[in-house]
Amino acid sequence: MPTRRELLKLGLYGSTAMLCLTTSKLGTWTWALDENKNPVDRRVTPFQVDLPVPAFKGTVSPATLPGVPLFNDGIPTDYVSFNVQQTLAQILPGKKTLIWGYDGVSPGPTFRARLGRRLVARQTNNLPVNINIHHHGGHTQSASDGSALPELEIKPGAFRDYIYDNDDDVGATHWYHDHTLDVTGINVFMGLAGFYLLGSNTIDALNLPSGQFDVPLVIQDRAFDANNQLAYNPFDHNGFIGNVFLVNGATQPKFRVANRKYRFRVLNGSNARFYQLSLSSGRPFQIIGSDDGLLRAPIEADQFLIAPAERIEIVVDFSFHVPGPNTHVFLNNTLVQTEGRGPEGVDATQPFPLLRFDVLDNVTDTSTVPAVLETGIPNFNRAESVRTRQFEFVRSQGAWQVNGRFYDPTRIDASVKLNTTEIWRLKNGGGGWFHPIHIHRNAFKILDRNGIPPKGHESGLKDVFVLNPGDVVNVITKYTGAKQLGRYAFHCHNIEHEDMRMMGLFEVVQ
Amino acid sequence: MNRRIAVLVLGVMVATGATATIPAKGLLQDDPYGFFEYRRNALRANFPDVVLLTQDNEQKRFYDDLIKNKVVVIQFMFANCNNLCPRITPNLAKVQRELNKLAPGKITFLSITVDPRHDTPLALKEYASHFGIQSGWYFLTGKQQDVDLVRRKLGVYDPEEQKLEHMNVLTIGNEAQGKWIGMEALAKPGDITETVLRVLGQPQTAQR
Repeated sequence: MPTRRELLKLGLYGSTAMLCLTTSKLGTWTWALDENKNPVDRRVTPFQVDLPVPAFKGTVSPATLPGVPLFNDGIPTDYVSFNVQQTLAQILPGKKTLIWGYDGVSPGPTFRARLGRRLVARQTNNLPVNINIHHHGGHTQSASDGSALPELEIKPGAFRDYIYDNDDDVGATHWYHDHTLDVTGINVFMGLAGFYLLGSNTIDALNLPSGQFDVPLVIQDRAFDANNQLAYNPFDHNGFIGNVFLVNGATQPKFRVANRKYRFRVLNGSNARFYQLSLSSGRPFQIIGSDDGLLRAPIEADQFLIAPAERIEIVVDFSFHVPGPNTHVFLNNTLVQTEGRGPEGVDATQPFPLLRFDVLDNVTDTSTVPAVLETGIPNFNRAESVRTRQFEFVRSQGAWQVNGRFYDPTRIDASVKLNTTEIWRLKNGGGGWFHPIHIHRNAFKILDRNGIPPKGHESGLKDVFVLNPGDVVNVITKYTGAKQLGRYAFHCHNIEHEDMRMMGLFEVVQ
Repeated sequence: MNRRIAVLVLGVMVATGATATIPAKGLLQDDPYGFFEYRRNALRANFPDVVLLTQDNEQKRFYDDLIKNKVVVIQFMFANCNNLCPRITPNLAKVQRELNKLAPGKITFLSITVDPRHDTPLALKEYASHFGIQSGWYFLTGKQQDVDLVRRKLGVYDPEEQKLEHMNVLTIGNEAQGKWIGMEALAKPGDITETVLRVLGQPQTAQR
């Protein structure tokens, strides 16, 4: 048990806490979103803090990691070591917030990986709960993929060495996050997520905005109790919806930019909230990438929908603005969503600013957005498909099923032969619910959405497929990679649906 | 292990260089930030302390007598149900027998009727008698408004839906740690058993 003094130090104990043990009339201890949903948290004043940009994770010598796997197969290998721990973060004004973070920060440090270079990550669990870490988007060996299998979990005080081969087809914006059976929702909500950037020579040669002009942005909604602590409601199985908006862990931050092009890698890291994003300037931007890599060619757009776990890369050109202290451009959300069921629609009259760009600096821009971006996108051939499987995602009596069954970590729902191509038909089982479906291990191409060829970023490589009510989406991939045999999860990435076992397992076999 | 001893042990381990990067176990179990206690207190408002009646016509307070400091499996049912309840109760009875072998007496089962007007304590006793349940399992009735309040607070009440809906969601919790999860009641008994043990903190699955 912690001492009273330790708790006092943290502000986790005190008169309010003591009172609430005898009476709950104060209301300060009820979960913020339990019954009285407040669209705005008054503690947040927008644009007070600078946008944090997560630091790249530095490599270490394997000699510092006793027992770590060593390789002599000629493949260059880098080593990193994380300490997963609790820390107090200044998120709201006043009392600090207890978070769980990779290296104690959220979002965690960014993996800097390279196509063709192996990366070994030691993850030491200093949290008081089990964890399991998924490399989302990675073509990862089963034992390092972090699918929701109890035997993959890291107990408190233990560590696990994850091997990332980085033998994907193309470079991409991946991420890593918790995937512990039944409790992924709270674990991710507490802060267990970060970026995994997989670079390649092909991408480097494009001369896209790079370095400080290549910025990952993770958008997350959260809720806080009266004591500034994260307030997760474990009894809401429909999908967590928060009323405080974080970009890279800060509430509605500001970001100082120059009058030039920026590459933004946008990740929706929310448990269940969708966003419709646009710029207050109304100016179009270039969509250059989807979940698992750059597009073949950039697409001009002035807004996009992004579902939980999706990544969309854009290039925004601020050179149309005259730099100055009053030159602001806002990244706005116009999608209304008050419950986990799904978004209710766009209200363009009520844009909500998630991030403010302050165009202050005058520079010369030599970066480009070439007409041809990724040339290495595999061409999955429909004629080569050996099998079409259908998976129907449906709500059943307050819980969530795939093909009429709940996830069972000991059951294989599909067995796929290595080096074969399959089409998976993902179907929304109805009820007006939205389900962003994520399939592990592979990057996919969408063949069609309700019979219509994919548009926009959906024409690129994907691993998250939004099923709107009534949707049927056909996706295709080839299950290559002899190292990547074994069991992998596929599931709804509304994490509360996932925790209620809207998930299945497939295996890849020789 | 108290903290001081844990730190001492860690210090020794660092000094010998055996496992310098691995923190000592026990240090973590102490939960230095008081997270479990905090979460438990924060969730307290989700357990209204309404009075319910058991199948033996005993009065029990929902929080003080049935939830507080317990590891519980909560399920909603009604005796005349001819849909899922007749399958769920025997399914849970298997779970209870298994749990009583692996963690004797540590798990409390609560089956709460959603139809308290018809389900008197006697009716629940009659219903329970068919399933060979063991001690530590309460079939509960009470005022309709109290039962509805409990369902609402536990997130298993949806006014849009029919009486039969939500019937198969179990609420599994470890009150002292504030750890609560939802699970379908018709999962395989072994799967439910393992899940309850995980919530208890005694999983059987091989882990590192």
